[in-house]
Amino acid sequence: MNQRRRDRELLEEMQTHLEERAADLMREGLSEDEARARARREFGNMTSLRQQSHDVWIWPSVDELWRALVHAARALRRGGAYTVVSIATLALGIGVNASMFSIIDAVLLRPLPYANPDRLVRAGATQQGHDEATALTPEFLSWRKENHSFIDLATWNWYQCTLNGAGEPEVVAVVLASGNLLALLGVQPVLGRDFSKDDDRPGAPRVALISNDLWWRHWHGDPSVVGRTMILNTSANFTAGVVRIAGVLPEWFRFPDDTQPAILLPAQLGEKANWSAGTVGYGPMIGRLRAHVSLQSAAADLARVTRAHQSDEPPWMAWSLKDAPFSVLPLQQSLVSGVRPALLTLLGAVGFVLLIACVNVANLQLSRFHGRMREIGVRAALGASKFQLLRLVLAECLLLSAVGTVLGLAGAWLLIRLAKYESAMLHLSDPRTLSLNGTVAAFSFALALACALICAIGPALLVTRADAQKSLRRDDVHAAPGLRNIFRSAMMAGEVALAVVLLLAAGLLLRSFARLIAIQPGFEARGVLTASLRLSGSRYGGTAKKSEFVRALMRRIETAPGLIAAGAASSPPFVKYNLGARIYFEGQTDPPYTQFAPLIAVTPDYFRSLKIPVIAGRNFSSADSAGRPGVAIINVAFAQTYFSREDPIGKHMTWNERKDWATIVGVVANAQHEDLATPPSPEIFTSFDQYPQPLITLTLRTSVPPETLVKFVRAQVAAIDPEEPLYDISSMENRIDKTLRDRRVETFLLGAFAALALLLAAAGVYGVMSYSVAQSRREIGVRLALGATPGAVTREILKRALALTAGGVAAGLAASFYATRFLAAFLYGVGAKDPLTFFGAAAFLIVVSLLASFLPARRAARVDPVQALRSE
Amino acid sequence: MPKDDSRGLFPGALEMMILETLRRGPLHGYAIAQSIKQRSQDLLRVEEGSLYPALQRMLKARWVEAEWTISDTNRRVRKYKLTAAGRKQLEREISRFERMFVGIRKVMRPSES
Repeated sequence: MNQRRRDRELLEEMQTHLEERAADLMREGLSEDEARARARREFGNMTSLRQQSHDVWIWPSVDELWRALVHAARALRRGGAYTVVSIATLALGIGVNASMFSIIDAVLLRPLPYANPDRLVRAGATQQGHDEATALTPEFLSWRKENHSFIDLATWNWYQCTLNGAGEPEVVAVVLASGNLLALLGVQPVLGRDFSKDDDRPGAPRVALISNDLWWRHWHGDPSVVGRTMILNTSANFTAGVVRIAGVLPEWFRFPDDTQPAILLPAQLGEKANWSAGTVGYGPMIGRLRAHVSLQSAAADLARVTRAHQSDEPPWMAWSLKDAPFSVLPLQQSLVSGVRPALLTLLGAVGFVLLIACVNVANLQLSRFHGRMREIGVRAALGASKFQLLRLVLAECLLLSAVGTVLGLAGAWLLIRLAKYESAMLHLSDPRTLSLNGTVAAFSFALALACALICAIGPALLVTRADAQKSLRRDDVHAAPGLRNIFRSAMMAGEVALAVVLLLAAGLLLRSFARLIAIQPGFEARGVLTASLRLSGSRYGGTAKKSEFVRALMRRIETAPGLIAAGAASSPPFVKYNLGARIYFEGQTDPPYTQFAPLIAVTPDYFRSLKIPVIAGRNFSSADSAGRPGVAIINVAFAQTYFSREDPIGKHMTWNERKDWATIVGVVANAQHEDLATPPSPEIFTSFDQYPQPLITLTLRTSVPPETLVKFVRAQVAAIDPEEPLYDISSMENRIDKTLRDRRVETFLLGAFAALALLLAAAGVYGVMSYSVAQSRREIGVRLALGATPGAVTREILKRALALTAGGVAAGLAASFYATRFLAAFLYGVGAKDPLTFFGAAAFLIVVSLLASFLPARRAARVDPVQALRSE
Repeated sequence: MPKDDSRGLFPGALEMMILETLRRGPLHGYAIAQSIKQRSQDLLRVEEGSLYPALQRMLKARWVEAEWTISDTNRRVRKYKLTAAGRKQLEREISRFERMFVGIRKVMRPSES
């Protein structure tokens, strides 16, 4: 009965009551008005009474809910193994989803910890060879002054410095930021003060803000650190020297970039754009948008300012600036753009796992309700309405998934605690944001509700179609209505399809990973220790001092026990290039700016230490020293790019505005540099003595475990100069491994989810086939009695399973054909539609499905015809 | 949530009186109210209107059934009839009430017990 009709009837009833009462009172002698008034008074507040009557129907009473719950709990307890397996399956599905979602919540959804973070953007031009928008210093100054779209703009640049004069020397990450950066973010130091306008003027004494972490490590949280000085030694093109500490950043502060600096210095860019080479630097830029300014119009605004200054740009900049597209993106989006696709893919994968889990539980519940058809029939016969039967089904499914969710959340809580130890792996800037919070719980319970509804569909169809009389008759209880079997078959095929998609995705990632680790890096990484040094510009100015230091150090290190070869390079493989230049060949006066290559200064034993073969010409020797004719070695990629038709040996070249020419004396094999996947780029090697560099990484080949040498090497460095710390110490194998970290995590997780899906799908197939065998016991009995062999029965059952699985696999392959395109970015050396993987996944699932059906099939063959015919 | 508006009565008392009244035969709302009033000789002062939310609650609990008919006074009225469940509920309520009543009497006049 609908609510409106109920209310109308109630109103009529109440009005009749008032009329009757008034009529009675009038009979007692009251006037009509008096009688009506008194009747109303005696009746009470009619609006409120109507509301109360209305509420009776809207809200089920607590009592009623409790009773439904107790009933459901009792029914589930009687369900025994069905219930235990259902709850465990749901807990598994919800658990992995809650864990995955809490990572998504922490990494992608949580607003950045700044004032009004939704108005913060990452802006700039996308320069050649960069993925992200950056600003050039002079451009930044014009943009900041002349834009109409931003409340303010800020930029920064990364450096590494040696921190001296504060305990142990240490190499730290330093950011030179425009002085307004913190104010723009809306962040205050916890101690001391922010940069002032004066601090940011060119030539002003340098002050610094230090990170909370550095404060604790070097000053043990001493509040009197403000006003103290430290010495920052640099090798790069800015000089800091003695720096006074102005303040300490909050512990929760996250720098709006991928890594966290230990020290912030004002960049002191000045007011006027200056394009002289010494002051130009690339840097990320962020801005705070004015109200009602869109991302597009802000980008157009930057383009307008740039156009107005086009004539200021020197020709050596023009090539990289030309057609650089402007981009303005929400800061949050730009910060997570690297991890977003992987996280969403994994969320999709756990979604699939949950769907399969749900289908399994739905199947189990369908079987359980099927076993209860006689009870349901009794209820229907006693007058339970369809609605009441539906409520019964729903209450049980809801309770089931609620219990599963609570258990799943408990599991997720444990997983998250474990995940916190791997926060770097998950790209969490702050592991504390990872938690099982309200959002995650709400998400999980929403999933649980959806699961409960999915699980309720089958039983709901079953009970509402139940014919009271039919289900009470004993012989019809086990008859197999077609509807239910189609439903089950569809569910089984569906979960096989989902499992195929996941298995395929995992297979593609696995094959990519295998391809990747099979790549030969071009050198032998095993048994090599690497450790870096940066010689301070103030103490190692000029070329001679740097050469001297390295020569002295190498002499000392060569005495190390277990050492085979000791080399040093400005950037060996898996250490970022730090030097590059425009290349001039003989006869060229103005080569294209794209004729650009990284330069690596190496000691004579460097190639030997990494076992990089010299393919042509000769290696450097100690005779290639300062003052001797300049020499260079190129790699095969360089030779192929610039000397495809001639012999490079003996050719001359130089770089930047150097006047002295270097002769190419050798060609070495290519070595992977950034990671295993990127094809090697052309490289030039120079003799360290002739072209000394402040950034040095030692490459030490040992016959003993590389790590055992660390102490010795550190002592040798300290013996020469105790102010120069050894940093970034790692075996070469570890360095390579680090570049594979993300891929390994993604592959492992997706593989684990696929395995889970496979297991659940196998359980589902087993369940459906067992049930189907149990249902057709009598039919099987008849056939056995009529002379069918047990083998024929087994084959028949397996054939049925194969038909269903094949349907599922076909659907899964079709879905994958569409879905794997989202994986394309994660793949290496394998196409998103790799036929072998497609075939493999399909074959694997069919085998698994047949294995899962084998037990039920054998059970069918062992049916005793006499018993089967008699028992039913 | 419905709140019990039958002032001066313990929870469930109004329902119990309605059930008792209906035991003798189907009645419509006004008649139930008059019957309770007369039989309690106006001792129990109840807002007459609170009868209706109570009847709705009882309809929902399936203690009573309702049917629209024409009354003696020729009005269209909804008559309420006790169901089997209602009868059982009434018996339960009466025995509970009697136990409670005995208990109260023992406390109030200990000498007589």
